Amino acid sequence: MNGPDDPTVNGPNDPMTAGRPGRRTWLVERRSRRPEQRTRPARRRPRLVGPLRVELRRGTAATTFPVMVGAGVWVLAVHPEDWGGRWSALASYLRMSMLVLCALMVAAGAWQAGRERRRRMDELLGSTPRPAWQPLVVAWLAVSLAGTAGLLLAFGGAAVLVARVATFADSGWWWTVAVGVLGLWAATALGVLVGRTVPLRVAAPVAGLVTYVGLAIPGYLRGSGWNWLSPMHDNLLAGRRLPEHLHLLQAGWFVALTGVLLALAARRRLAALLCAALAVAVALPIGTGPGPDRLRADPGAVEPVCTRTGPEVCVARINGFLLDDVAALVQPVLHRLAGVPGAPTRAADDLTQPDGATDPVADGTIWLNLQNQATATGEGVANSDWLRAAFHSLVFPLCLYRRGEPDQRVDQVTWVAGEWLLTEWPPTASEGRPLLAQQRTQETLLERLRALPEAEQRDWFGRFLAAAHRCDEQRLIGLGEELW
Amino acid sequence: MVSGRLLRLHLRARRAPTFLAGVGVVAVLAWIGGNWLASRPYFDGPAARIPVVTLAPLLGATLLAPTLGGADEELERGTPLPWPRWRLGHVLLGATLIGGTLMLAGLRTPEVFGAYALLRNTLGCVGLVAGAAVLLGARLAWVAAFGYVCAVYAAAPRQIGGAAGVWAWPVQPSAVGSSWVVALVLLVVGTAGYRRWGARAGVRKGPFIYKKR
Repeated sequence: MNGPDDPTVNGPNDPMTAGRPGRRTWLVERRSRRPEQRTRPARRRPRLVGPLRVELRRGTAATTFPVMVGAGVWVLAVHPEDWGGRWSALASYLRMSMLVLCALMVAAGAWQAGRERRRRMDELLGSTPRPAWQPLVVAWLAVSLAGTAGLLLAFGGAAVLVARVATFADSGWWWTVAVGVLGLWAATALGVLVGRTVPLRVAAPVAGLVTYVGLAIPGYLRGSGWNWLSPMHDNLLAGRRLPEHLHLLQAGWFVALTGVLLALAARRRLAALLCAALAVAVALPIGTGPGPDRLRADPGAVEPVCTRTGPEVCVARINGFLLDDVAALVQPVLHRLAGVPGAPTRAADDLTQPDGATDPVADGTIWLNLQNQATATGEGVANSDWLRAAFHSLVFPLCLYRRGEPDQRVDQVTWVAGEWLLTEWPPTASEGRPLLAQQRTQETLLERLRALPEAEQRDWFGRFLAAAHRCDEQRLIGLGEELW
Repeated sequence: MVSGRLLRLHLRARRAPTFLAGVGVVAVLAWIGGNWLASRPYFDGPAARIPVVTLAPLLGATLLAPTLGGADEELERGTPLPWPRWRLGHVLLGATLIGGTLMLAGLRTPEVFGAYALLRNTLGCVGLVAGAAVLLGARLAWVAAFGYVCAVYAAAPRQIGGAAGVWAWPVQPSAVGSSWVVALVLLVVGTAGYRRWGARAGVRKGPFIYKKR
C-alpha cells in the first residue's frame, strides 16, 4: 500500500505519524547503511491475483460474463433439437456455437485492449516500471475467464437437461468442450492483438464480424484437413468422435496460437517467434491429414436398441431416449405395410446403418434420421414432419420426376398412396385448411380407397408400390383410374 | 444555407473519409462473397447470399456509428447551427451512401437475397444505430445492431413471413412485406430520435488524477 492514504509515506512532519518511524523511513535507513543493496534490482514475483480481481470486477470482463451467458442461452434455445438428450451432441453444438461465441470474445478482447487508448492512458502506463506484458496478460486472462464462466454456465444449464434423459454416456465428449474453451481463449488473444494495434473506434465490432465471417468460411470449403484448425466445427455428429490425438494436437495449436497473439500484442518478438514455430509444428500434422474422414463411429453409441413388441423399430443407443416416441409414430405405419410385397418391415435409426450405406430403404428396413429429433426436455420428437416425409418418400416415384415433369394424374395418385400409408399419423399443421380444386379430387380418391375392404386396399397399395419402383407411369395412372 | 467549407469541416471532424473507405471495402467484399456463394453448385443459387445480405449492412452501419458523435458533443451543441437538421441530413446521407453502395453488390439477381434485401437491412441497421446513439452515445451505438443482427442470424429461423417476418426481418427474403415495415419503422424512429436529441454526450474519462479532499 503505497498510495496517498499510506501513513508511512507522509514524512516526519505528518501529525499522524510524528515520533514513530514509518516502514519506508526504516527501509531508507537500512538501505543507507547497506548501499550495495540499493543498486541491485529488486526481483519480485509478478503480482497477478490483485490486478486480476480488479479486472474481473471493473474491466470488460464484467460485461463479457453476462453477454456470454445470454449468447450461450440464446444459441441453445434456438435449436434444442441439435443437442437435446445426448452428451456428444451438446459438446458438438458447443463447437458449432463457436461461430458466434468466438466472434464475441474477439470483440470483447479488442474492447478491453483498446481501453488504454480510449482513456488516453497508454503513455502513462508506458512510463511505469511494470513490464508491458503483465497488465496485458492479466487483462486477457480476465476476459477469457469471464467468457469461459459465462459459456460454462449457459451450457451447464443445458447439461442438466441432457443428464435427465441421456441414454449413453460416451467417453471423450469433454475433449471437444475443453478444446473449444482453448479456442475461445485464442479468440480473446486475437481480440487483444487487434485492440492493441488497430486505432479505430469501431475496432471491436468490426473485428467480431470479420471473425464471424472468417470462421464461417471453412464451413463452405468442406473436405480440407486445414478446417480442423478452426475452433468452429459444424460437422461433428452425435455418435461419431474424433481420435484423441487430434484433440491433443488441436489443444496444442490453440495454446501456441494464443502465445503468438499475446506475444505480438506485447511486442515480445522472440517469444512470438518461438510460439509461432510451435504453432506451425502442431498445425502441419493437423492440416495435412484427412478432412471429414477423421470422424469415426463410436461403437457403443451406435449399438441398436429395439422395441420388443410390434413391428421392429431400432434406434442407436445414443438416441435411446427417443425410442418410445419414435415407435409410437412409426409402428402404425409399419402395421399398415405388413404383408405388402416389397415394403419395409422394420424402421431403424440411420446411425446404426453400416458405414458407407446411404440408401433410405434397404433390406426391408426404412432408415430414419434422428439427429435433429430430440427436444430440450427429451419428451416427444422435435420434427415429426421429417419422419413423415421419410415414409412419404417410400411412395414417391423419384425416377419419373428425374426424367421430367410426369402427368398430373401421377401426382394425384402418389399423394393418395402417401396419405393412405400415413392414415394413423397425427394431423399436421396444414391439415384442416380450405382445399383447392385439385386437392378436393385427391381427397375424393383417398376416400374411395379407404372405403374398399382392407385386403383390397393393401392389394392396391402393393400394386402402386411395384409400379412406382418400376417407374411405370401408365400403370400408376391406371391405378388412379381404378378409384374413379 | 450550408457553406461548402462548413460541410467539409463537419465531415472531416466526424471522420467521414474513414467511413467512406470502410463502406467501399465492405461493398467490394460483399460483391465478391455474394457472387462466390451464388455460383457454388451445392447451394441454391442467389438465395445462398444470406450471410452477405445480413452482415454487409451491419458492417456498414457499424462504420457509421462513430460518425454520429463529435469529439465533444456539448461543445459542439453550443455552436450557432441548426443541429437537428444537420443530424437528420447526416443520418440520411449515411444511409443513402451505405444502401446505394451495397445495392450495387447485389444487383445481379436482386430478388430474394439481393439488392433489395441489402437496402432493407441497411435501413433497419442504420435506424438501430441512430437510435442506440441517442441512448448509449456514439461510442457504443453499434452495440444494439451488432447484438440483434448476430442473434437473429445465429437463430437461423426456418419460417418465412408471419411472426418471423417481424422479429427476424434481417434474414427474411426481400418479398416479405412485414420485414420492410419493421426496417422502415426502425429507421424512422431511430432517425427521429437522433434528430431530436443527438448522440448522448459521453462522460469524459481521462487518466485518474488524485484529488485532495
